[in-house]
Amino acid sequence: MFRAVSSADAVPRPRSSLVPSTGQDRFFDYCLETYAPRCDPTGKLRGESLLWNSLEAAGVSEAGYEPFDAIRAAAGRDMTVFGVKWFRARLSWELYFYDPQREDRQITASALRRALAGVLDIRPRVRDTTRYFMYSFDLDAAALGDGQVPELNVYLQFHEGQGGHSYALREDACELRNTYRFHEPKREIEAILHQVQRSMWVDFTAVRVADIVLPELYECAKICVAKKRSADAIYYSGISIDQLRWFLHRFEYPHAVTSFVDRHRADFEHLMFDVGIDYRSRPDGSLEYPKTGYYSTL
Amino acid sequence: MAADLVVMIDGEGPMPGSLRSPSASPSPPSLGENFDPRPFLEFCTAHRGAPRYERVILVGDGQPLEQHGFALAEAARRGGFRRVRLDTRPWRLTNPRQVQAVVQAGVAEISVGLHATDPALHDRLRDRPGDFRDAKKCLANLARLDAEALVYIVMTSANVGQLRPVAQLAIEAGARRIDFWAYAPLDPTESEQQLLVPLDELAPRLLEAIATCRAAEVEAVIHHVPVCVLGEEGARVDATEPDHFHDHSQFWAAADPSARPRFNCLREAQCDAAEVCLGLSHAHVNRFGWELDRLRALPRTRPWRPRDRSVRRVDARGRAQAPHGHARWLDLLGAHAMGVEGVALTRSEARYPLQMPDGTRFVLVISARDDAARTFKQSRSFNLAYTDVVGPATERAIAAFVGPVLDTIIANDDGSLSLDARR
Ligand code: SF4
Repeated sequence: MFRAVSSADAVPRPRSSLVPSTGQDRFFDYCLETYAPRCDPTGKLRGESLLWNSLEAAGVSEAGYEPFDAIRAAAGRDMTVFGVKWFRARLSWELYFYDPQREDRQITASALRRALAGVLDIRPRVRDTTRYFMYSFDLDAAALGDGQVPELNVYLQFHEGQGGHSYALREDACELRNTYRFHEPKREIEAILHQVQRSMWVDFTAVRVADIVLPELYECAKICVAKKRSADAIYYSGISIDQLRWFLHRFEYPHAVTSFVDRHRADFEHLMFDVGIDYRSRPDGSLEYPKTGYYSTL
Repeated sequence: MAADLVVMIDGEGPMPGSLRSPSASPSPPSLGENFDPRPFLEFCTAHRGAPRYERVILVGDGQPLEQHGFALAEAARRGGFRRVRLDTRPWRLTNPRQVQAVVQAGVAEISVGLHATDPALHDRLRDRPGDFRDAKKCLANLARLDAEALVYIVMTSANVGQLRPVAQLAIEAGARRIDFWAYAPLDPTESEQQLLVPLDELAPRLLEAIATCRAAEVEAVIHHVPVCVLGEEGARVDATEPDHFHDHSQFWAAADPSARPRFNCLREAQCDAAEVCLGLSHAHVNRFGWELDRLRALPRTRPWRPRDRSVRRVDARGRAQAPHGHARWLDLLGAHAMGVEGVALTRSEARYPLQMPDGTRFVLVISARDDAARTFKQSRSFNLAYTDVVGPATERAIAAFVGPVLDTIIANDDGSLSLDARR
């Protein structure tokens, strides 16, 4: 049913990574909260261009694009958040589907599962009655090849404040993956520092807060601090294209990504982006950033 | 709007507060090879009729400055700027006749960097042998003419121990004003990082130098140092930034905010000085951390507002262009767009907050056309309604107020905008 895809059998992708902005574009952050573009989007690029660029950078062949097209057709334009992850020198992707108010029956996890049948096989099933507000799944080169999605991440929201827990759901297992909370960076800096400094993964006698609350990204709309199974993480949302460029260089993304974003700086300046950084102390006490990611909408 | 307007003529001139010219930085701004003076000359003609800037600062040190500097200074003087300042490297101003010609062209202020009392250190910081000698000659020439010498000192770990004597030297050389800049490099190399100074070392020495200026009645201005570590002298901190004149073809890079050092303070929202204080440079934070033990937020007396992060654009005439945001969604309302407080687009709606003359507030909501849904009116693609009414107006009064707005939407909706996520 699924065509194998790998960089080895990559065929040239006929369509361009450059998808122009239209007057109909809606602008959402990675929580699918709306924002006003920073300037006139006319003549500029849609955020999805970053996704296509990353697929190209990873050497994904034409068939590997199909799931993304199918997802967009099912969930609607601008309605899917994508994350491009950089982990162990490999790019992979995560797709996020939000519908906290259950406004859209077509993007419940079960409806999406049906809509993607034949393109992606989402193995775990979530009851529609489970009061999740969001779910996501990962796609890497292997998943794009065999079309199998063995795991869903399901997010349950806190009663107050923005944040929640996420669970990794497989056909035969379900486990707590992380807890996260969003803050306004400037008004709630004390809460952010509190969250960051209480850590099982970081030795703050050897690590400075400034290596986690990064000055280059601090000017943003929201900061989210997450506690994960094997690291802590910090997410900066609502950053500018210049901050994204800094991030991509700082965390040593592939040249095909950094050069693309540098080249199209002006084409992306109307947009806001979101980035996430996992961090933990190494045995010698120094800080490492095992995994990072950047986000926009499809 | 800033009181000063910077015109970058080339990438060779010294930028305020930096040790080197932009062209010497690892990623120099790509200024046009061939500087075209016409946009600025046109700007001067317009500015003369309606002056908006107090001062123009011409920055350059290369061939374009030689070719166009006099014409630009004269045009600026005639163009409604009360002050014309030149930021160039001092070697150009060692000849008294040259300085006289520059002053006669209308340049009333010249800034000169002086960074040490000993020539070797100054030249090393400037990375230019002979710069100290040239700076002193330039200052001596200015002292003989009616031109103001504005001395600036970039404070680094190398010269922080001699700030007071440098200030004294500048005063003796006739400085009318001394600007103290904390070193704030962009993308510093390792050796540049070593030039940064922690606050507890910088503040007491800076305060001594300020005391020297005060005693000599020479104006002292401080840049890039947190207000809260300076006590009463915190009032001398100037965090304003000049506007940069540019037209897109030539000056894009000069206006690129990523090409300038950035600053932040974690306590910004709690601190009353946040509007006049930049906090710490990113280079400083990366070297010494956020210095939370040293920074003391001054209790706020007015509400803190987040910064506007829209992209600012200035057109060739120097007029600020408004960010367009959701321009087409606002266009839908025609002239009524002036009366709404923006538009928020959600998954399924465009929402426009409106206020009536009697203070009644409500939200005009447009959603994808659905003939089965109850709605107030419909346009080609949308259901139109209002909600969240707060205030004294009756339903009839609201309907009368909102009617013309809805009629405009109906007239303007040509089907090209959609709130159907699947289109
Ligand atoms: S607390 Fe921060 S904003 Fe306030 S004066 Fe100090 S550095 Fe400036």
